[in-house]
Parts: sequence; structure tokens; C-alpha cells
Amino acid sequence: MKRNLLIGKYWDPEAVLKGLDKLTSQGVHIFDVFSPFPIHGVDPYLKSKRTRLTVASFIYGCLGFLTAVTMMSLIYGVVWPMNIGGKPALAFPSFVPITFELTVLFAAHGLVITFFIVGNYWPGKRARLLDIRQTDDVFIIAIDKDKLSDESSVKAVFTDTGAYDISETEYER
Amino acid sequence: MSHVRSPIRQKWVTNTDTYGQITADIVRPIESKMNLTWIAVTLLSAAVMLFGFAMIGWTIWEGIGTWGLNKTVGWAFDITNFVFWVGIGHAGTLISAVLLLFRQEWRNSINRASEAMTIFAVMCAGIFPLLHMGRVWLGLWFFPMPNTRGSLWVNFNSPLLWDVFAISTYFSVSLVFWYLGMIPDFATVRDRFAIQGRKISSRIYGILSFGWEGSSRNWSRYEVISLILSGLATPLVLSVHTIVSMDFATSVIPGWHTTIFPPYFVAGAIFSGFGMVQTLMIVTRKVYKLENYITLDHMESIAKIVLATGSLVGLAYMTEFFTAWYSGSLWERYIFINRAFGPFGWSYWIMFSCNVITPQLFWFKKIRTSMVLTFIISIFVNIGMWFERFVIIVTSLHRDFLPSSWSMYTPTYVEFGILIGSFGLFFTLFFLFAKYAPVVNMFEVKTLLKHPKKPDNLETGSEPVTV
Amino acid sequence: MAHAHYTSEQLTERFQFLGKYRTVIFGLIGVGLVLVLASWLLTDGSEATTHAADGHAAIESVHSPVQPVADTHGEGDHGHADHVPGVGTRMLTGTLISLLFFFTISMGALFFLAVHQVGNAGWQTAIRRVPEAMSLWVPVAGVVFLILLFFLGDLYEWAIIPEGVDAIIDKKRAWLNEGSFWFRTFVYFTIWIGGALVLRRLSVSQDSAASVEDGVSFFRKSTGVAAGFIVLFAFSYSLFTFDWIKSLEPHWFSTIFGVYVFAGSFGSAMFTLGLLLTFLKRQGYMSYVNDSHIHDVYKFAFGFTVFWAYIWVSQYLLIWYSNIPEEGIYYVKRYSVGDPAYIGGSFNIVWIINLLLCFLTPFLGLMTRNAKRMAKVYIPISILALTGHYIDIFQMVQPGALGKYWGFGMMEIGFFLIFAGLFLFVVFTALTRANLVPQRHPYLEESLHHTTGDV
Repeated sequence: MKRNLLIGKYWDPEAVLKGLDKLTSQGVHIFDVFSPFPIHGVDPYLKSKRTRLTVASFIYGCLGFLTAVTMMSLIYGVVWPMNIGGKPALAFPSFVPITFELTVLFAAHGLVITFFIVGNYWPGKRARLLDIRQTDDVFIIAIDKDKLSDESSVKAVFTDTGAYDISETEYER
Repeated sequence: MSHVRSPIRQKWVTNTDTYGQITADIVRPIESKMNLTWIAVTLLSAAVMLFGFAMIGWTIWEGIGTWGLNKTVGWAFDITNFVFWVGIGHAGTLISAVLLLFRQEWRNSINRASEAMTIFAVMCAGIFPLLHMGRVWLGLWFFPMPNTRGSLWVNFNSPLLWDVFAISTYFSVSLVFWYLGMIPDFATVRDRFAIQGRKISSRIYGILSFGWEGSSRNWSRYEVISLILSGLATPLVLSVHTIVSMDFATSVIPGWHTTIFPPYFVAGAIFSGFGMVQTLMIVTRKVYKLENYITLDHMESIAKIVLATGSLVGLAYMTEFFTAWYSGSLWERYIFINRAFGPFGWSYWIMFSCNVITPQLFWFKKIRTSMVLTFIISIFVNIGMWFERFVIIVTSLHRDFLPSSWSMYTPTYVEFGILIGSFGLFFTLFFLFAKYAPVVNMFEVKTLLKHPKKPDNLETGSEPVTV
Repeated sequence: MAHAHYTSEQLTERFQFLGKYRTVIFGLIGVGLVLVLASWLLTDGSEATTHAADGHAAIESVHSPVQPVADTHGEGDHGHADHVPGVGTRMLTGTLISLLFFFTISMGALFFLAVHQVGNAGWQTAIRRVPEAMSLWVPVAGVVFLILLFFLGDLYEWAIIPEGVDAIIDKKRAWLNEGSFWFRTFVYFTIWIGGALVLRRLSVSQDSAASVEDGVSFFRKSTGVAAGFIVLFAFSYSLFTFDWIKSLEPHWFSTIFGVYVFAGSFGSAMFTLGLLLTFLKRQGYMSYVNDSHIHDVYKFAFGFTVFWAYIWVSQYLLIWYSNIPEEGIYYVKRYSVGDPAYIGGSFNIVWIINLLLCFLTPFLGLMTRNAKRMAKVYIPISILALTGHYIDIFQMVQPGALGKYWGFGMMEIGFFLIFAGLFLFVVFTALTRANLVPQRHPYLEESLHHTTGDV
């Protein structure tokens, strides 16, 4: 979707937070914030939903747990029971380590793969940058211009809170 | 985390007041031309590595009869090396995961290199059990697959099989964790190259960076998954050395079978890993001039962890010794006396002095802040922890239950060759990493810089770009 | 110094030991005493003698000629298992269990203080007076241990079995004898009481420093003391558990035992701390303790739940796997169903409940972020986990001390109530003695602004 963005560029993350605070208090909807590192305290202004990746990871973990227990119980309990060191064929204490490992394996990899899919990341994907230095030392507040009633007040906030550059641009995402 | 910082806390980033400077300092080795020293040391390590590969080739061709093993001492040098390398790896995960959960800010500038160390160490470790199988080409039999070999399934009761699962999970999860951490930094490198107009380099790092843009929505998810991965990696790292310790502790061999092995091996692993972190960091910060990011305070914190874990290991040694006596068991008592005063007693005392006594020097601030002394102690720690595994493995085996089976063990040149070769592999990989990836986690270090100065080269009116 | 959100009254408040708390505490102690007395009086008088008096040694010598020769560790646990123990032993066992329960909690709190001091942790500054108060139970517990020292023969079989009867115990006489046991106990408590009192004194004297800058010297001194204390703690606590708990079954040995007890004690200290903080907040104190502090306390509780399980599995798995008789006996006693030769059929229920309450309940219950912040979740979980910790100590002590005559009844409940009352009395009294929040602490500001963030 093509959007028209109004962007303010900052060099100080503290100023970004001030800007976001003023903008949201004026009822402006924030499209996104771009920064070279995570700024703590930005999330509440973006009003994004709490991520459910934790739940996903828990489910993957359970899946790994079940896989391990089923695999070992089937192989040693049904397919090919074996007497090893006089222990019962289904020697559950022996299954603890592998069960744990597979739980972690599934939870971790499932989580990361989901993260890549949800965030649409893949090797070779082109990045669309509002400023070439936004991964280095430039912080950007982007606002959807089409949802905006009063452009000038936003620009005023940008200037007041220390944005060094204000511009408009098209952006596709 | 609190946004207030007590004035008595250390500054983890010194003499730096802009984010751009952090980027420039850390990316410099990647951007600059290869220098001769780097080429020389990398080639040297590669040569050592190739020598090791030759010895590996000889082992595979001729069989493990080329090693010094005998019927009594059926496990020796290679398992020692395996446990040694796996142990080295533990510090990386501890720094990246456990210290993240504990909100230790100083981890931010050493986690990248330590995680790399983890990955490379685990790669080195993997060589040894594979070789010890004798027929490496049958390595796939490790995995529980339906098969036509008379329905030959793997032995789920065997700690060696647990190792297969533990090490492969550990390696793959650490790799993913490490790579995930590098994605935003690769994006930074990509954009730096784009500014300089070096299109091919920019594109290569672009592919590696998965199209990272630094949107806050992504950062928010990114931080969540980093925390979950840390939460998963913490018990994982404990489990790995626990399972390695069970290779020994589930047996009935006196000296191997003792219940403290799991936490004791984990403590020892962290100890040896931090010893290696010290060795690597002291050199890296000096060569790459990263003293502003890996400060003396960082090195002190690492030294304190070495001290703490070294003392824990000492506690475990003494507990073992005491309990061997307390058990009243003839064999337990004998094996520990033999360990310290028998024919391999010298290795016990090398172990004890390097692991328990030397780190006690870190009680003194003067020593913690002297990089020369720290470097020397870190080498001692590495040596001591190699010997620890040697002591555990060889001294417990060489005196069998049956005195007629008693024997000694001497490694051959092939075994030494493979050990040296593994160091070659480790350093080759580390040098390549140090040249082509940011050795310090840039975005996490940037979060530590409070109240930056306004950069003097800000550009207005720049257009959006696609890279 | 400007404290952004809190008035100076809030930051200099003290805990008031109100009459209603006293009533409850004395009620607990009173009911406990009544229960103990009742179960004592209800026991058949003819059995109400202690070992020392009942010619225990004679019984032993009849029994044991096989033992020294066969050298079979553990198999014939002749001591207390072979005859009906007197009510005196039962009372001492009850005392030991409840004493250890609260003592391990206070040692966990003491270690919490020391390790956070050394680790430069800022977040805990606002709540640290509570673990400080908990750690002051250590000296009181020391007095009770001192009393127990006079009754070693009724609890520990090595203390009454004469030389020449049991070959294995004889091999350990250099360690397991009353003289050195007394000596070691004195050394342990010197270290711990010293550590607890010095750390407390430094913390309280910091309150009267002129400024935060002046307070730093107390803080630095605490760090030094705490670092030394941790080293001594590691050695002494491990040996303490060998002496006071492991030697109840003197044939058995396990190197990890100290770590096992430590894992339980730190975890249960965190559950207790969470409960105490919630209680204080509900009584109107400590308004500056926010959800994030509670969250972090329960993160520790959760972490140590997992750590406890890890150590539990390590010990169990290795002993089960190797199947060496002298070690395996420990678990055979605890879980062989219906084998009265060892301990009687149903002890395995205790053993399983212990696992469920100590691991599974808090592990599943505290997994989510909200559970660590919502009182209606973490209070019941804490109570269950602490029950589990009691059972944990119960299953460590009773099979060794009472063997197949183990039991749980009014006696054990009575002692638990007495010690609960005493523990709360000490903690509450300690809380009244100083401000509820440390003054002039260099990390106080950090702690008052503490937040765990959105994740």
C-alpha cells in the first residue's frame, strides 16, 4: 500500500520520546518510528497489540515435548522394546534429557521462524529506508499524512522537540 | 530496568558521545583494507588447521589405533578435547542469555564475540566424538530413523545419545541467537557501504541483513524474542554440560560417578569459557582499539566471574574429595588418593593450582585491572581446565577394578596434532569473524550511551532509498 | 534529594507491630504448644522414652554382627528403623523439620542480600529491609540448633552406635562424632550470625549517614563483607547440610546434597519474600514497591523452581541410573511401594507430592508474566510451593530419623505453628527496628523507579 508520510528526523532518542508524547496528546496517529536501536518507552505510543510470540513459543515447546515423548515411547514401548542395563524398556528418567532438548529445540526454532515470517524477513529482501542513516544515528518519526487533519501543528511539534529535518515522502509497505 | 542511573555505577561506554562514532569505530575493521598482520595470522591458523585436518585424515584412513588408547584407558585425549571445547562454548551463552536476564549492561559489548566463540568452540568440539566413532561415515546412525538394519534403533538410555541431541540443539540454537543479534548490525554495515557507494559489499550485507529497517514495531518483537530465546538458552546451556557430565556420572566408575557432576561441570564450563573470553577480549580490544567499548571495568567484571566460578570449581573438588573419604567406599577412597598422589598426580596438581589457586589472585583490584596479568592468568585457566578433563577421564580409568588391568596412557603425535589443529580451526574461524562481522554488538552498545552530542554532519533533505 | 513520586513520610515509614499481629502470632504459638502437648500426652507412656535411655546400644549390638563383615552400605539401616522410636525422638524430629524449614528460608534471604550486594543490583534496594529481617532469624535458629546439640543421640544413629558395631560408620568416625559435630556447628553459626549481623548493621548505619555520598562508604564495606561471606557460605552451608541432614542416614552419601538444599532454600526464601511484601503492602506500607519488584522476586522464585528441579533430577537420575546399592537405598526407602522392610508403604505419596508441589505447581503457575504480578495467582502458588518445601525437608529428615515409624500428625503441625509464630515474631520485630526503606542508599533512586519494562 502506498502511503504519503510526513517524517521528522531526530538525532536524540530522548527528543523522539518527547515528540511522540506531544503528538499523541494531540491525537495524532503514529505510523511508525525508525531507530538504529530499540528505544525504551516507544511501544505505548504505537498502540500496537502485545505480541503473541510468547504463546507461539510455548505451543512449539509443547509440540517438541510431545514429539520426544511419543517418539521414545513408541520406539521403546511398541516398536522395539529393549532391555538395557536391566532397566525397564520405558525408562522414563532416561528420557528426561532428550525430552528437554527437543522441547527447547522446537520452541527456539519455531519462535525464530515465526518471527521471520511475521516480520516478513528473508535473505535478500530489499530494505526501504527513509534515511540512509536510520540504522546508524538517525531517529525518525513517521506519520501517515492522509490520516492527518492538521499538518502544520505536527510540523510545529517536530520543530519544537528538536527534529533537525522535516520532509514528506511516499512509502510503500 | 530503571531510567535512573546511580552515579556510582560504571560507565560502560567511555570517551564516546555520538552514535555515529560507535558505528564508525566498530565497523572500521570491516571497511578498511585487509592488513598484512591479519592475513599473516589467519594464514598461520589456517596452516595449523590443515595440519590438524591431515591428522584427522590419517586417523580416518588408518583407524583410531593411531591413538594412544588401550583396553583400560579407552577414553582419553579426544574426549578431553571434546569436553574442553564444549566447556569453552558455555561462556558465550552465559553472557548473551543469562546476563541479559540479569539485566547486566556490560554484557552488551562482549556478547557478540563471545557468542562467536561459542559457535566455533562447539564446532571444534564436534570433531572429537565423530572421530572416536572410528567410522565417521556412519555418523547418521546417531539419529533415530526407521531403518533396515534389523530395526536397529538408537539407545535412548545412553548419555552419549543425549549428547547428540544436546549438542545439536545447543549449536543450532546458539547459531540462530547469534545470527539474530547480527541482523540489525549487518543492516548498519549495509547502509555504510551504500553511503560509500560500494554496491557489491552493500548488497552482500543486505542479503545477510534480511531487509532490516529498524521499525519500532519490529524492534518490539525483536526484543521479546531475544528475551524468550535467553529464557530458553539459559536452561539449555545448563543442560548441555549436565549431559556431558552424565557421560561420566551415569557410570559406576569411581571418580566418575558422583552426583555433583552436573552443576560442577557447568560451573567449570563457565569458568573455562570466561578464561577464553578474557584471552580473546584482551587481544581484540587492543588490536581493534575498542578500549572505549570493552573497558577495564568490563575486564574486571569478567575477572570477577572467573574468580567466582573458579572458587565454585574448587568447592566441587573439595566436596568430591571429602565425600570420597566420607563414603567409606574402598574404591572411591583409592581413586581419589591415586588421583592426587598416583602416577598422574602431576596433572592433578596442575589442574588444582591453575583452576583454584591462580584465579584467587583476582581478589586484588590491581591484578584485575592489569591486562598483562589477566592475560597470563587466563592462559593458566585454559590450561587448568583442559587438565581437569584429562584428570577426570584418565586417572579414573587407568587404575581398573582389576589390578592386572592397570595401565598408563601416553598420547601419540596424531592426538596432539588433532588438538592443535582444533585450535587452528577455532582461530581461523575467529579471525574470519573478526574481519567480516562487527565484533561488538553496535545496536546494544548504542543503548548504553546516554545524552549523546548532536552530530555535526547531519544532512537535511536526503531522499528515501532502497538498499 | 528529590524523590520524584514519594513523600518523605512514605520513605521514612516504620512498621508498627500492632496488637492484632501479636494476637495472631501468640495464637499460632499457643495452638502449636497445645497440639504438641496433646500429642505427647496422648502417646502411650511406656514408649515415651528417648533413645539414650532405652538401651538402644544393646539392641544394636544384637542386630549387627553381619554388618561390619558384609560391608553392604545402607542395606541394614539398623539405627532408628529397627525399633519403635520414643515420643522424644518424634518430638525432636518435628522440631528439626520445622526449624530447618524456617532456617533454610532465612539462609536463602541472607544469601539473597549478599549476592545482590556483590552483584551491584539496584532493583532490590527498596525491598531489602524485608530479607534483612528474614535473615535475622538465623541467630534465633542458632539457639534452637544449640539445644538440639544436646539430643544428637536421639536423632542421629551414628551418635549412639558404639564403635565396632557398624563398619561403615566406624570409617567416618573422624567426622561423625559429637565433639567435632559440636565444633562445626559453632563454626557455621559464627560465620552466619556474624554475616547476618554485620550486613544488617552496615545497612542500618547507612540510614544515619549525612548524605548519599557519605552512605557510599557503608555500601562499599557491605560489598566487601558480602563477597567474603559468599565464599564462606558456600563451604559452610554445604557442610551443614551434610552434617545436620545427610548424616541422618549415615551410610548414604551424595556430593550434590548441599546444592540441593541450597536450591530449595533460595527458592522458598523468594516465595516467603513475595508473601511478606504483599502482606506489608496490603497493610498500607511500602507503597513504593511496585509490580515490577514483585515480578522480579517471582522471577527468582520461578528460576529457582527450575533450578531445584534440575538439581533434583541430577541427583535422582544419576543414582537411579548407576543403581549402586549404597546410594540407591536412599530412594528405595522413599519410593518402594509397600516394602515395610524399609519404611512402610505409603511414603512414596509424600515423595510424589513433594515433586508436584516443589516443581510442577510453581513451574506451570508462574510461567506467564501476569502470574508473577497478580496476587490472586502468586499467593496460592507461593503457599503451595512453601508447603512443597516443607514436605521436601520432611522427606529428607523423617526416613532417616524415624524409619518405618514415620508419621505426620498433630505433633508436626504443632511444631510448625510454634516455629511459624516465632519466625514471624522475629521478622516483625526486626522490621520495626529500622526504616522500611534504606536511606542514603546509592541505588535507592534506581529502585524507586524500577520497572521491568513491557516484556
